[in-house]
Amino acid sequence: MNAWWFTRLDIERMPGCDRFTLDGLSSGINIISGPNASGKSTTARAITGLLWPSKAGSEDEATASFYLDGCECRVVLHKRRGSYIIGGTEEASCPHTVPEERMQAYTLALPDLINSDNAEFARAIHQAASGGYDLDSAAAALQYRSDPYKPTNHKNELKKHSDTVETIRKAEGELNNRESSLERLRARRAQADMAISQLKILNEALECAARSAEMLDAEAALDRFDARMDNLLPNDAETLQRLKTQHAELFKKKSEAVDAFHSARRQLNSCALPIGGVPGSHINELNSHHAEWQRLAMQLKQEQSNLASVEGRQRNALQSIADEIDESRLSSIVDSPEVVQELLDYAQEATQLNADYDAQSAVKSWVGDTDTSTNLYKARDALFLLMQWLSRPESTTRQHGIHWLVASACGGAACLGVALALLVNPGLCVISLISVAIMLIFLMRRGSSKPGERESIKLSFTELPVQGPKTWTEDSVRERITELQTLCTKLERFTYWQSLDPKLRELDECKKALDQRARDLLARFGIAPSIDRVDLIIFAEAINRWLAAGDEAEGQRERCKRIEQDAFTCKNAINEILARYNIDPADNPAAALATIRDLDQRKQAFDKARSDIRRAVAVIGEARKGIFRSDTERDAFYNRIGTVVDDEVTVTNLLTDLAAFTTAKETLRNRQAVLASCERRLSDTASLFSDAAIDWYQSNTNSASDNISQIISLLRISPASDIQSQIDNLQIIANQRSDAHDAILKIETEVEMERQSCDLANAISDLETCRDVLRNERSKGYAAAAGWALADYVKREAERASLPAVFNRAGELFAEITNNDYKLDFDHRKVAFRAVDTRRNRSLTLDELSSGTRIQLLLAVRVAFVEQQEQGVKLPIILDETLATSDDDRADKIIQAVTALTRTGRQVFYFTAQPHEVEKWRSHLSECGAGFHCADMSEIRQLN
Amino acid sequence: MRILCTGDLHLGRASTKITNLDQRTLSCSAAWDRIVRLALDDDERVDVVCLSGDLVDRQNRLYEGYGALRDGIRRLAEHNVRVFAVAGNHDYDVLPRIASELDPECFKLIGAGGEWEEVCIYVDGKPALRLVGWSYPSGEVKENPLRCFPSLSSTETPTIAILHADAGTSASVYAPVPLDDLRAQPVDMWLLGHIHLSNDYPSDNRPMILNPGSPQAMHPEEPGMHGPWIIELSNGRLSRPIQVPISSVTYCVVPVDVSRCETALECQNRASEALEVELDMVTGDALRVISCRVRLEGETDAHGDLDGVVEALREQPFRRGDVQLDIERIDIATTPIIDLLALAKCADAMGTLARVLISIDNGTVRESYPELLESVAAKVREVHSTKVYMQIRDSATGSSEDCVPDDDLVISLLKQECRNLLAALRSEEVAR
Repeated sequence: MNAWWFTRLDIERMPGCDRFTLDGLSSGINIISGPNASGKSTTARAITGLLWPSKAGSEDEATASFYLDGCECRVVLHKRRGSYIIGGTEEASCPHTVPEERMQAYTLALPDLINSDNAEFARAIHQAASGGYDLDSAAAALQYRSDPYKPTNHKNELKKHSDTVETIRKAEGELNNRESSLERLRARRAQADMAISQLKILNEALECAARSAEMLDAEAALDRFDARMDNLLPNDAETLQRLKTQHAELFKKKSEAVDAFHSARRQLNSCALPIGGVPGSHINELNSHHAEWQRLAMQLKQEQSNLASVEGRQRNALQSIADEIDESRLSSIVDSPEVVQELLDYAQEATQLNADYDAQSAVKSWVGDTDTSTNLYKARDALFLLMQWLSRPESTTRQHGIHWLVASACGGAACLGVALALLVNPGLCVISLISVAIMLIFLMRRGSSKPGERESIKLSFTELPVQGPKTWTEDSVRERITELQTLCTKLERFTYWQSLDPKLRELDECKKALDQRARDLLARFGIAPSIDRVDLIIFAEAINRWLAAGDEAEGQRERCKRIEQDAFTCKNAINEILARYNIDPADNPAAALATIRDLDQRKQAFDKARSDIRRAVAVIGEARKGIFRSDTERDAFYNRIGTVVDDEVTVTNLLTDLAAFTTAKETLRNRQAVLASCERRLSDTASLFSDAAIDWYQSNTNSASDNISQIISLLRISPASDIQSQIDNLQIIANQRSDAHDAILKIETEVEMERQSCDLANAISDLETCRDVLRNERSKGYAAAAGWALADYVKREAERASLPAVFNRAGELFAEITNNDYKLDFDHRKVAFRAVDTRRNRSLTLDELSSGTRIQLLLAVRVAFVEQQEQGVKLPIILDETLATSDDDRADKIIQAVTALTRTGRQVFYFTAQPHEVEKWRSHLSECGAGFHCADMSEIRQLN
Repeated sequence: MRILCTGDLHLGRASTKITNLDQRTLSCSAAWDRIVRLALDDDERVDVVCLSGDLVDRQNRLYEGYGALRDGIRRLAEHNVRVFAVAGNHDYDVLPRIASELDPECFKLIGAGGEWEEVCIYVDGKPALRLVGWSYPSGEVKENPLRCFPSLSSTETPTIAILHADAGTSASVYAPVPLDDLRAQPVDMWLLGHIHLSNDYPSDNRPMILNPGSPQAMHPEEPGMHGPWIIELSNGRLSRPIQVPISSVTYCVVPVDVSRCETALECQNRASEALEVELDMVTGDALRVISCRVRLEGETDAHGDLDGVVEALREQPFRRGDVQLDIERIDIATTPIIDLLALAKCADAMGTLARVLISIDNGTVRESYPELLESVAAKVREVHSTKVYMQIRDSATGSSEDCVPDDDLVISLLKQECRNLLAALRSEEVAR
């Protein structure tokens, strides 16, 4: 087997250390000494890191040179990765195959073992032989156990919840049992319901039977009455009485009507009127004629009075016309048209003459007083010149005003002329013509005038015999023009007055002629009206009054005549009508009125008598008909009752029993109604509870029929005694319903409450939770049991697999280490190591060995195990202060053992802080000639 | 038409292995209540509810589970939502009772007594959906129910077959049905029950196979999303089902790789980060608890110090709003950083352990270490048979986790303890 031999270690970077180098390392024992914190542990960690880079610290960096299989090699540790150069060739993988898990096996810390007791030592040897693992401790730490794990904490809890579930289930089971009894209870209740239904039906049937008996009694009672009682009506007593009374009243009425007839007949005769009587129209006509006659008489009287008054006025008018003239002469004049015309012509002419005089007088007053010293034509020329002066263009604005002024003045004069022509005389229209002419001339001159002509006009004006303006300014000229216009107007009126002078003379001539005609008229007709206007008017009025009074008197007379004729007509009409009733004619309205009134009274008496006769006849006829009807009704009455007509006694007897009969009949009817009602109720109830009815029928008749009509018919005729006995039986069954129903309700309520509950679900859930806890415990138990079995198996397997090889090799090493003083033995029976002292030929148990021998044995076993794991490459072993607290003997034995190990070709690193240990090593190794190397960390790292 | 599909309600039960939470929140009845509200919700309003058995848990079938189911069906009926169901091994005797209590128009048990039955749902007088179903006649059915599957009349009406069965197997006491047998039937969709983990079996051709799973996760062995599925039926075609998360609990296994973690604190931080990630992935308004089974994996030098990590993680609060994270268990499946192959060459205890571990990983442990396996199994089974655990044996609980430890469990225990022992010996060596 090749050995891994570090020759040099370069610690590049390790936590807490600067770089340092260990060189010249021995292939045998390397004693690394130094005080605490001098770098021993760092060196040990670097060695393991270089061997198993993945187990190094992440910051660890180191380099080492080593020999392997005779080749010089190199390993670089950097960030937990190892780089290997073996024989100059870079290798990716580590040259040894010892797993990192085995790393600790190469580090031996013996002090603990040295201090342990015997039992522990044996176990340690055994453990070491198995690879150094304490399976028992590991199993204990993992709580593996051989016996089943039995938790107790949750048992009671689980039982409690389990009991709860069981209790609820038990209660549910009991309820379920009760629920299953529901069918029976429901059947019982249904039976009771059936019985109750049948009871209802039978009670109705029983009622029907009772009511039927009552009805039969009523029928029997009714049969005991006279058969004719049924023909009577409730009001037959009244009917009989009414017939009797009615008959008497009719006879009385007839008798009174006959008497009235005769009395009226006598009254009729006493009126002495024709059979047809007096028509109402005659009386009306008489009254109408009489009223007209009366009115005409009054009117005639009034008209005659009026005529006298008119005739008086006529006489007065005649006297006012002429004293000498009498009425007849005047009438002849008036009646002669020529004379009248002549008088009228005279009056007309006189009137015209007076009018002409009046017109002349009006014109004279219009002209008034006029200064005639100025000539009209000169005035007009002056006016014309002044207007021309104004029209010349001295000043445009002023001329414009003058133009308007002249135009206005001419317009006003023209209008004045027209007015005078219309009002006074058409000849005055000349004023208008002149004014228009002036205005035209002015306009023509205005159009042809020139601005320098004013002075020439002024000169021309001064030549006229007309006073000029105060100053020759336009205002003064205008003022003068106004004055001249006024003057011209007055001069023109005066000129006109002068032109009327011939006409005035003509009027005077006419006046004289008229005076002559007046005198002629007086001579001829005695009438000579004055030409004086007043006289003439008075005369004319007198003539007119006289004529009017004459006409009025004539008309009045005509009216009186017509009235007298109308009154006569009325009188004749009245007397003609009166003559029809043999009444003497009336001469005046008063007599006529008395006659008419008498006639009217007789007429009314006649009419009343005739009316009474008619009424009496009608009453008699009506009474006869009533008597006939009464007799007919009476006959029908007796016939209906079934007795002889007018057998009043029998009828009275029957009527005496009528009340009792009616009561009996009513009783029967009521009982029939009650029975019918009962039967209807029975029918309804039986139909409503048809199942019950059918059940009753089938169980009582052994019939399978389910014809409900048939069943109802049978129920109607069932004897009451039978029904009563059935009712008694059914009542017993029906009485059980309440109990059954209550029991059902109770169970159903409980069931419903249970259905709405969640107690069982909660209890199951709690139980499940509890079970889960216990399951967890069981899982732990499973794990503990499985682990224990596993640990046991591994232990046995490890012993079985590794012990023989380890044992053999350990024996060899032990013998070599002890110079064959001891050899190793194995007690297969007790499965334990033993040591044989070859010098004494004695087999010793491990606890019988000295401490030094123990360590030798332990080292042998451990190295043997290590060798067994290595399978190719021997890796260095690290011993840490193995000699500490050892006595000399034990230290020698340890050194001896380690030295023996190096002989097998394994490099050993021994770390110690004790200088005397170093000396021990030096002394021993020098004696035995073994190769070694000592490294003082203080020196290497130059620590003081 | 919208169809809500679910099953395995297990009313009367609740989610297990959750601490510090109101039982009502964890109950399957509460999940059923949420399903009913979902079905009646304006946004998710459904017309038909199909239930694939095990609606009531056998342990609590008499009243509590019964009442919750009946009340829910009545609420659905009040809003004209029709409910169709088949019975499973848990409720084969309960559903017929409920069916007899309720109006058949509201609740229809299909295929009662183990006889296949056909039901047609009409819309506007026309057949819109055909349901075919089979119900458990008893608690155990060893025969494949499809052997008596009826020959369905050919129709254009979409058909959903509802079956509570142990799908994907041919040997089971819970109606074994191989998947190929399901795929061979002329239906549009299979709605299955029994397996609590939901599975929308991929299928290119008809029929779709949907195992809706339980709407409420009840056990750590039921990780993932839980909730009912909604299917849309339009134009005579069934849409792909969409799951609506409704469970208040989600179980999950959180593997935490602590490789290269040198210290226990690093391992703890890495585990915390992984758990925070789980909280970030919260889905569903109803979710209140994420129950995590943490598994520390990988090679780490801190392997021997992870007990402290376990304690620290348990004391650390994890929460997002209303959702709390509950650490159900922490499995330490780490290994110390060991070159097993190199170590295996050693003849010592560690070498032995290394070889055992290698053989376990290689699956040859049975052949290589029969004696060890037998010895471990014997010790483990001795624990199982201990009287103190009598109340959690499978004979008492009926749970598979309480069965006599089988070889797989023994091997996993052996592996774990190999690691632990290896780590302990290593520590011992380091200490030396």
